[in-house]
Amino acid sequence: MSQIAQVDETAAIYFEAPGQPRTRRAARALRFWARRPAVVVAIAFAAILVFVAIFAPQLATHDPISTDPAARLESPSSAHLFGTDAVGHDTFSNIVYGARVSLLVGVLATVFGTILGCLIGLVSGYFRGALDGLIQRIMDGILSIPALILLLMFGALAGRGLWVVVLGLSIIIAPLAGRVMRSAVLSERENMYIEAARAVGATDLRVMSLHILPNVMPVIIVLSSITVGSAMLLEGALSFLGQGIQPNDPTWKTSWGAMLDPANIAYTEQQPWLAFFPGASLALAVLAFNMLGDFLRDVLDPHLRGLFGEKQ
Amino acid sequence: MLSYIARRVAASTLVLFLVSVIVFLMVRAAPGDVILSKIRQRVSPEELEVLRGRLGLEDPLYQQYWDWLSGILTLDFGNSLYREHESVLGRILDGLPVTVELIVIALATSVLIGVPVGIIAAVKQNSFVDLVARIFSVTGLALPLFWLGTLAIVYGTKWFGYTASFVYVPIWEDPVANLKQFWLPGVLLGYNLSSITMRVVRSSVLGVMRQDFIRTARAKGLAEHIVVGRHVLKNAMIPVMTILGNQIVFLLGGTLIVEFLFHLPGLGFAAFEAISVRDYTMIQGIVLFLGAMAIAVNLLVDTTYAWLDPRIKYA
Amino acid sequence: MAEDTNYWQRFARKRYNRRRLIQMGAIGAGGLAAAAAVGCEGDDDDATETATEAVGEEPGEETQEEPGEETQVEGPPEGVSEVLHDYRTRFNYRNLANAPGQSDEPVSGGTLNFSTYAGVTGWNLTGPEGDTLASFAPNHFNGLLAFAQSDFNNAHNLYEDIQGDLAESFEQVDETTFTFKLHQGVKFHDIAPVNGRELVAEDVAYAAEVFSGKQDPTLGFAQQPIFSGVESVETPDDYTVTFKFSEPAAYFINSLTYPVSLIFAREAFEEGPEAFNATPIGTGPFILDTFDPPNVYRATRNPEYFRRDPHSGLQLPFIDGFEAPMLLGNDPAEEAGFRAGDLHVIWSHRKTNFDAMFEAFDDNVGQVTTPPPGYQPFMTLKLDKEPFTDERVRRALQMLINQQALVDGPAEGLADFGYAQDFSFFGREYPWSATDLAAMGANQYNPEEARSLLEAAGNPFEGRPLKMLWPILDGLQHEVFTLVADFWRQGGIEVETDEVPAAELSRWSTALFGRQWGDLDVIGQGFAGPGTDPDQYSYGALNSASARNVFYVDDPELDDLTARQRSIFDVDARRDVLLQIAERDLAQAFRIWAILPYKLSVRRGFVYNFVDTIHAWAGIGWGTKGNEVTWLNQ
Repeated sequence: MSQIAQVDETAAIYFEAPGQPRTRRAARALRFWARRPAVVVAIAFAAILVFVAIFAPQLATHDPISTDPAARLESPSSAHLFGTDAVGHDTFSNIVYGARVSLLVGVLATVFGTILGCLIGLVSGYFRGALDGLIQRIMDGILSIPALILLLMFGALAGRGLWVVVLGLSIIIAPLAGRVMRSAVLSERENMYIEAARAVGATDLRVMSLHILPNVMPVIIVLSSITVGSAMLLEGALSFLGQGIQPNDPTWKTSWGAMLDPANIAYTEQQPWLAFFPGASLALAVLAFNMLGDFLRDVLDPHLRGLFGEKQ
Repeated sequence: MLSYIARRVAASTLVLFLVSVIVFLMVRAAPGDVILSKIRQRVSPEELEVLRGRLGLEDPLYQQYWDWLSGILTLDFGNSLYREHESVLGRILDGLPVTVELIVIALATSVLIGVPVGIIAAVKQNSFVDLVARIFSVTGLALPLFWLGTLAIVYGTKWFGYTASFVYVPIWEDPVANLKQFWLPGVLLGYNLSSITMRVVRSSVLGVMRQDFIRTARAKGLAEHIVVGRHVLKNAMIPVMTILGNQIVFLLGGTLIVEFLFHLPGLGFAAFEAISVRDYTMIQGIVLFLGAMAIAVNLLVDTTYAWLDPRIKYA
Repeated sequence: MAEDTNYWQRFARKRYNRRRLIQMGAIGAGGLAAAAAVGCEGDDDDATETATEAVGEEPGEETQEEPGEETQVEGPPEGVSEVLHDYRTRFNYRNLANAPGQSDEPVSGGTLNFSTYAGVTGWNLTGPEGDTLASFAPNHFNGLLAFAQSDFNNAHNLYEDIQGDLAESFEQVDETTFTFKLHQGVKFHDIAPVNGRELVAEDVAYAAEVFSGKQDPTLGFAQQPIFSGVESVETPDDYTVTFKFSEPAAYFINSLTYPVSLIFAREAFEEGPEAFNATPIGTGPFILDTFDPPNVYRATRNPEYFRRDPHSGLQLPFIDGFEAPMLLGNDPAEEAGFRAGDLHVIWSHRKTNFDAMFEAFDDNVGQVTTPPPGYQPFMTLKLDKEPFTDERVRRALQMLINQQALVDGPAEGLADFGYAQDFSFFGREYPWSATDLAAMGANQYNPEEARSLLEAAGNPFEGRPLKMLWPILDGLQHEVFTLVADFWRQGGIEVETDEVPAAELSRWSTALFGRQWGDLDVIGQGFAGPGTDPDQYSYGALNSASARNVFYVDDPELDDLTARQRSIFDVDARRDVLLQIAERDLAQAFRIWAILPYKLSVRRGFVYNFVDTIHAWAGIGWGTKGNEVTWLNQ
């Protein structure tokens, strides 16, 4: 969760560093790939996750919310690949549907948060002055409220469910993306636009954003790949606390965090598999996305890898 | 430098004010209120109005906000609306030692694991040690704390005879009993964070080692351990401080999960309960307090940073 | 005091012929056609009474035993599974009187550790939390009456053996007049502003006035149903209180044992709500040390407590105090705490947990306790909204629930079918069994008929999902509601479920009470009570004028019946009416019933005389004198 803050630092420094030609980056990426089988595994796992999420209804062996009081707390078997929980829910089918929720929350929250942040950063950096100050202070304010507590408050306000969690996480991610965007806008203005604007007589927000986006993209992508994992973990924690996605959710069926909620996890001693599968799935998914993030960071900009060196 | 600090403090005050507004509006926009959280009988709308009125919940919003804010300015956080005889400040001061102790243990763990492992991983870049360290690091980041914590309690007691008390004992009353209940949640949190510390240390050391002055030092023929020990580490530790600051800010709310699992009455737990029962004054008080702490830590880190590294300009 | 009009006296005497009462109750019901069921209940009774005889501590019981019936074969009665019969016989509280060491002489000292929850926000007995305080306040306060529960040998798992608490004796003068003689020398805790002064009749009168709601209608939420009928309270001297009612009040004596009518000091109340809420100043066995949610609840013994142990003559309570971490609901932590020796008592609703905890220490003592009728998962419907106004729809929803599967599944066999009516008043130690309810034609699993009922009602759930919400109270209830939702799905109803954390429970149920639940249709509830007398399960729950009718049942027939039973002093006649109420309620399916799980507790062997009965169901301390008479021999 706190690596979000780290990316924040990373982003700030990135824009003080000179860019590199993109062709060299791509070449480096290929070399990296060959040298890093772990990354390939991570990508493969992420791909499997996406596949599972898309084809969850086809892959599930049972209806994830249909119960069977006669087959409760079973160990893995051919009838129930990953066993069952205390009401006879098929764990495998729930894991499969849970992949949907984790992926959707991770990806959507990141996408929405990033888009929102970019817009805010653009406006903030473009107009500067008092508006910029106010926006920045609000962003600081949001960042100074602990993420989980902010999410709980937002949940109290907006209710439970996937979209609430996605929106809540977006609110937390937005200020981070916003800062990246804002510093990019500011440096662009310094670099070229003030002259041009004076010459033309006006600055076109749209043109500017078109120029900036390609430059910001690498950082945004790196930021995103890391927030995906964090968002998944936060969703898990929220659902664990009973404030995220509900077990037996009518649309989304379940979430890995909800499968680990206190009512379920109370059976850990009796049926260890019950806690093992959702916990391990969540851990592996986050692991895969974090490794993907590392990988992207290496590929897209080597400066980010040795990021603090630039300060010297 | 002084003017920098002054400006930062002014900006921080504004941020705190905004936090107070955000929190105030957020909790009041949430459906349900503290009266509904308490009552168990059928009540008429009139009775409900009387009960709400007693807590000042029928006042106009701006007045409620002003009453609360003017109290805060005189350090009067008011009383909880849920436990009406309990002072919010009292609850905060009760919960603070718990949260702070968890933060301290977690940070210590994070540094004790993260820094040495990070340095070794950087110095022996791409070696087997580096690989293991990095696997350890990414794993720590990925394991859900609520899962790890539950497993630790269930199997800790079953297999390893983990027997911490679930009644909080303040450290000044019985340090041994206190540490017995705090070490495990603290270390679990710390393990989670150590991976970040390790990453930052590693990349920071790597970055410094590529610098010219290190190359010069090597060219002079200095032994590698002297180069690393004297020149690299000194310079590489600056960003680590930033990351520790970030970790403190994260932990201010991040202790909630272990407080919940290990039954430690810290600030996160208190905030969680207050949100559930719509205890407006309590939520506002705790979140404002945590926000102020976060801002103060950031301020402290930035200032120290500026002081340590005069090359950073604060225009 | 021994006149025939004395309801309580007659009631108490009747207890000794329990089997007869069941038969009378059943026959009186008219609807209870199944004589077999009645016979079987007799069986069950035999088993437990035999155990009692072995202890030899219930005088009068044998003497009135009808001869010839002892020959009946021991075994599970019809409708009671082997496992349930085994557990509730093997771990019956009566056997505990024979447990190793239980006959030892009591010793004073030691601290009892158990697990509790942050259920209340303060000690304002007259506030909205009066009911919940029943789990906490009896440690610090006394009422006028209590259940006989001074030790194991006198413990009963029935709500009928009433004794004085603050009252030394009590008398029913006529159908509207009740006189209580108070103990002398009962002192309040030595805390300002009361400063340990003696409790006198005037305190009782003042508390009764506040409880009646006449002083302020927003006070006395929990007590108004008991006291609102009081016309006047007289205190001829410092130790005599006389209550006069305008109507016959058959419920009054029983209702007073419900541990919410606790007597406080006037000056403490008049200090203002904040002070009254902060510190409990009562006459009770314990003085509050810390109530620090969500951390811990601590209390120390009241050295001035007015009661002594009748056997040993020792001052009560025996223990120096108790320390109770608020862990209920956090099962892993609770079990870890018990294993670590930090908790001396632990309870759950799961057989597996019970077995595991029972094996955690060699000297452990297990107990399977009959739950009170009010403690069970059930469902309330939004009765004033389509299609729940249609009786057929409600009955269909009930018929779709396979209660047997719930008993065998999540309850692991240790539960009975649900229905909240005070079975204790019928002299039953155990809840209505499946067979009893079948005899009443109620709560039967019949999906085919459910479907045809729904069809007859015009398939109201076609294209309209049923929205259901429940709070995550504990694992078992969570599972029961999950399964219920799925039973309904199997019945062709689209069900959308939502779960809220336990801390939000009351807000949701209040929202339900206030009819503010938006488009919700059903709320899963954990408590149909609480209550310790039939009045609260009939008039309280079902009369449209009752503040306790949080289900918004509005039925003229029930209004009439529930009001009528309040003034019937004749036990048999009142049972008749109560059974009619039950039949009407069940036939109309105003509430949807799941199961009634047993309370399974394990305690360490050195915890003696810890009386855990039907009265002590929600955590430890609920109206019980359990903490008061427990002793530790570590």
